Amino acid sequence: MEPSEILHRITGIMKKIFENENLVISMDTTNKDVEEWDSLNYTAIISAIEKDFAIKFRMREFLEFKNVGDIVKTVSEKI
Amino acid sequence: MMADKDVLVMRKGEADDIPNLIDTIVAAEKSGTDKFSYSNIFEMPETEVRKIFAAILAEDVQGQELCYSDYLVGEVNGKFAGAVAAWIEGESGQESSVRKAMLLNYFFPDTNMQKALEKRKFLDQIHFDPDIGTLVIDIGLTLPEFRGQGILANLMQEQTRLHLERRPDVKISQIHIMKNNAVAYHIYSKLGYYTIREKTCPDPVILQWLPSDTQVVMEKKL
Repeated sequence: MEPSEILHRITGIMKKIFENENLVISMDTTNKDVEEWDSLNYTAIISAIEKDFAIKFRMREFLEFKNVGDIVKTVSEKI
Repeated sequence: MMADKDVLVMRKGEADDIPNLIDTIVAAEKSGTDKFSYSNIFEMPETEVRKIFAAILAEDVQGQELCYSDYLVGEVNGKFAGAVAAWIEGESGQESSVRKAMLLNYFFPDTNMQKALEKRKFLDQIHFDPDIGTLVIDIGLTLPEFRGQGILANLMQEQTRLHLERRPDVKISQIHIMKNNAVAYHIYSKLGYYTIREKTCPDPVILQWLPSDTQVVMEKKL
């Protein structure tokens, strides 16, 4: 799957969690760029991504996530 | 009670300290009440939460309070007397709350994690993230038999000294406490911390889970 397609699916997940259809997400987006993206929503996003892609992140992987691009890269390595 | 010959020895936390650190974290979370927030929020007995804490602490992920090497341990006559956690917020590359939440998400069963997430609209109302680049002092506690001897103050001052030795650019220290914790507030005030922010959840449901409906951020210029 292309990184752009993964990003598109993750954007859909985040729109649903944040209940914001106008949300714009790029590879460089961080939790600091989205007001509602706090620590609890972060876990909701990670759980939803794991379900949606039928994958499981390893602990050391999610501790390295700095932006959406890091998440996309790790997902692409797992599918 | 410390006698004149008793000496406080301070050292970095080690894996062998995990059982004592779990007791410290649980007591600090209860904040002088019988409400253990993790049990209430995740709807899991304290004994089970303690097992999960042990697993998380064993991973020693720095930059959040469930990490043994982020603690400075105080011992009197070789006996664990208290501990204080500290880290530079964001130094690990992630905020402490994100790092901890991800660990909780990884170690708690999905069903319990969902129960916690269902409460987030209330918990968010009193949640603060420490400011990036500040020295965060967290989970400070002295065991009851060693209280009144200045051990907590010594541990906090030594944690501050150790971090400033390594990071002299850090200019501010922050502490987050629940407002009901008058003893801790008094100690931190005496050490020069003062309240800069306060958040209250207006819905009384929060008191079913937490020791207080108000969280306070205290700060001190270093």
